[in-house]
Amino acid sequence: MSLLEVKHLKKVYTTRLGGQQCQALHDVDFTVEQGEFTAIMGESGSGKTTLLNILASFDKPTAGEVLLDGKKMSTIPERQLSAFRRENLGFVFQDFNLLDTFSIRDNILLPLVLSRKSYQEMIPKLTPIADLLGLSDLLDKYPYEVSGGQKQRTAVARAIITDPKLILADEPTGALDSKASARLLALFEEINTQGQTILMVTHSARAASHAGRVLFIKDGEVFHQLYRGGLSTDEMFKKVSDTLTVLANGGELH
Amino acid sequence: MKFTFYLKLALTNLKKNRETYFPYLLACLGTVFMYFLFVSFAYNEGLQNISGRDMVSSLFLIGKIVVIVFAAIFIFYANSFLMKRRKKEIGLYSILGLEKRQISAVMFFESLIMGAASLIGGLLFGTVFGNLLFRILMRLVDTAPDSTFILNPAHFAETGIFFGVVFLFTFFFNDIQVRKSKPISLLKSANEGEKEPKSSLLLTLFGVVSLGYGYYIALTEESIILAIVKFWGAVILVILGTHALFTSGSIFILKTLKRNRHFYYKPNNFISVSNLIYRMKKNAAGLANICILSTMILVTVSTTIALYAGKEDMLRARNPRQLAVTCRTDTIPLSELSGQMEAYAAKHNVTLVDAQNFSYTTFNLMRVDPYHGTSFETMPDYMLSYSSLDLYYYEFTVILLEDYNRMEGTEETLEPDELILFSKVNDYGYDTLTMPFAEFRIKKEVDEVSFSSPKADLSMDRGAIIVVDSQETLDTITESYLALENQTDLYLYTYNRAQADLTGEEEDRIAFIEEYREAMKEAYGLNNSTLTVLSYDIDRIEWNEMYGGFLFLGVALGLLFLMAMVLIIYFKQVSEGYEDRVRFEVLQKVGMDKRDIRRTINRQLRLVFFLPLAGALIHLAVAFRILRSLLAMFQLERTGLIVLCFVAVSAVFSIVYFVVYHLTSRVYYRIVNR
Ligand SMILES: Nc1ncnc2c1ncn2[C@@H]1O[C@H](COP(=O)(O)OP(=O)(O)OP(=O)(O)O)[C@@H](O)[C@H]1O
Ligand SMILES: [Mg+2]
Repeated sequence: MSLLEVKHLKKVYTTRLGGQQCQALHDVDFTVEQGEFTAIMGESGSGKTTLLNILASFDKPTAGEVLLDGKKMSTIPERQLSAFRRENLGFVFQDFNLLDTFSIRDNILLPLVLSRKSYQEMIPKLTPIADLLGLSDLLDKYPYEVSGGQKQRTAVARAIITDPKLILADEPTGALDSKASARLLALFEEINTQGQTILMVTHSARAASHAGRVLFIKDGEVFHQLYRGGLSTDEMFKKVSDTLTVLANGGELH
Repeated sequence: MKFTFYLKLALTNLKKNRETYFPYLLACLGTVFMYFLFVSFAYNEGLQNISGRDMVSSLFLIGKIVVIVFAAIFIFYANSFLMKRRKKEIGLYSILGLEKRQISAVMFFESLIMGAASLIGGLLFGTVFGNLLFRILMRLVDTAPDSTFILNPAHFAETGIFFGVVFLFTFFFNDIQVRKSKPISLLKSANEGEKEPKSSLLLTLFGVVSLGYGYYIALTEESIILAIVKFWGAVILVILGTHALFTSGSIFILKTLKRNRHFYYKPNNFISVSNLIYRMKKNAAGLANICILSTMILVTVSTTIALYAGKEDMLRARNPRQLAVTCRTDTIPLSELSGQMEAYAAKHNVTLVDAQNFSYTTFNLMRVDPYHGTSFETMPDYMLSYSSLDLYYYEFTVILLEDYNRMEGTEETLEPDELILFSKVNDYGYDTLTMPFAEFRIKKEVDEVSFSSPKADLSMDRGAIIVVDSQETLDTITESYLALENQTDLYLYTYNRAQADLTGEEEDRIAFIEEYREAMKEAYGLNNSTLTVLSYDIDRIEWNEMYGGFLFLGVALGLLFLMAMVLIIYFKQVSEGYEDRVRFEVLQKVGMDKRDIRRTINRQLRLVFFLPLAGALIHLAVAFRILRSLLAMFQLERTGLIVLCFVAVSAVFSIVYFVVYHLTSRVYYRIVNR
């Protein structure tokens, strides 16, 4: 059984005034196995964030179904959704979503506090993650006092501190320079080898080439996928770049 | 051309921000209305035919000054609040290529529109409702029901000029803000969030000391005179203390909680404490203002209501008999005083009921312990410079047993060293009484006497009426007293008093009293201070004017303050709403239950908004003693009545506050759930 099954997802946004409709997802269909590291690529506005939001249960699809561990998400009662999110999901937001009332430390600890862990349990988890992400010196600062990249790393730390089954990351390298990106991706790879599943949206071919599989989304559908197989990162990078070029030229694959 | 462009842009801006600007407009309008009302009442030609014209005029002039101070502070405060929220919008304009000069022009038109709208609206209201309110005032004042309200263009002009200046100043303020600003920092400031507040231990300590000392004065000052002297000092201390404690103290406490890791890292505490720190930092000053405004409302309204409600009581206390005439024994003989009273009464078809005439002697000593002890001594010179003189000063009024028995219808007997005693304030409660020249035994302490004011709970006029057995005893007392040394002022006089209740038409009674008074003054060459005429009827007219005016003014100012308070609460709810909306979403995404979030936020909101009310009620409770002293100055000496008024006003105010909170929190939830 796959960890995540996405079946014929469709999402239509209706603008608040009712009139106009915008179809963000047309018919998205794919599965993710336990322990996979998958990247999702696609043009801006192609529906990637929309897809992640549905997977994270922040939003409901217009049609179609998402199964996590074989369980239909739509059947989880509203009341249990928050607990479900806390226990199973780690989400890195495209716009970070840090709370300005909390220090960096408290922002990272937030999901642990919500799961009622004791302070003694939290610290051993916080220290290594903060170290890895280069946040150790910033822990007592507040979000408005740190840079965009530091905020993004904080968001990543918050997502992975609970060891979630599934990490959903929306452009986690968007605000990072190449060195920090490389470190973050290495971290993702390491987490991945420990068995956690990662689904990462990215615009960067370099970032995508770290993944085991790359999904390309176009016009609200999964347009193409690439498997790494035995390829090295550089070889994968080339393949992804080529595919993007073809996509950008509007060409057909296969 | 350009002109209409700016005007249009200004109008769109105001419309776009109507959520905050409309309430602001209403509040400005209300302030204009109140100012116009006070000005046109104070100088109204329609007051001509009321006797207390000067009294009413000066009351409303005081009111006008309060409104001036209030309007200046309040309109500035509200305006700067609104500007702060619009920084981003203004930054955007300058990035989109509008020059600062042009932004200033837009600002000018905004101020112009707001000023004009509130002036026109306020004056319109004034014109429409002025007459009605004037009639209500005349009702309360209860003397000149036929006075009319006359509109005067000068009052319109005065109001226009004053508020024109205020709005011009708000424009200058906004203009400086625009000129000072750098577009980048403006754009950034909105996402920047607030710095975490610094809590200064020093400021917290200052708050504790300031509030504590203010409270200490209010709670311990015994002397009425000193209470009045120190009142404003205490008020300022409490205002400073409230501000310091709201801004620094609250954050100090929260940070201490935060430092306790086991407490802090629990879901509810975690979110509440950190949010509260943030909220308090942004709102503490506003909350402190709400607290102080609430206290002001409570104090003004409850004291003026207490005065109005206690009016009859005070009149009775001052005039136990409807007419009482007093003069020194060496001016008008007692028989003449009472005989002429009867004659003039008959002339005006007034009958004297239960007429009493007697002589009495007064002298003063110092009560060594103001509240306890039986010892009375001479008052040394230096005592006169004591501000708390009223505590020690003790006046004895001596009357003869035969007069007492006659007036009270009793058959008491006394030995030369025995007294019957009536204490004017509180009970005396001892069996003996020691004067520097004699020692007396109290045969009986009575609770009331028919010929003098009833006992007061608190009064500046401390003293006792003592009844002695005979003229000989009185003569001895007089001689010994006058022979005292080391007494600053040998104040001992003998008076004749004629007093009675009156029946007859009110007009006749007043005519009688006036003619009688003038005739006696004329015949014996006396003036108003050597011939004291206390009349219930004449007092009543004056008191109605004074306390009716007080009540009107108190309630009007109370409403004005209330309006300001509602606006501040509303502004707070709106700005909290916009901030919490973002937090709400994030918390939900990170896995906090929607209902939990709502519950914690509810709790925080309630805590934040009811803190000022709690503060105000505590302030009022503490201020009770000192306010009672102030009221005692006005001869309102009934503690029970004052308590009743305070409690009733507090209850009504709390309900109003709750309703205001409830209504404005609907706005909050609408924003959060948008
Ligand atoms: N709340 C919304 N209401 C209406 N339309 C929306 C909403 N959110 C997204 N859309 C539309 O849905 C489409 C997909 O948006 P989405 O945010 O998923 O794109 P994306 O692939 O994440 O783009 P990017 O790479 O720029 O982040 C876009 O056309 C967008 O305009
Ligand atoms: Mg996106």
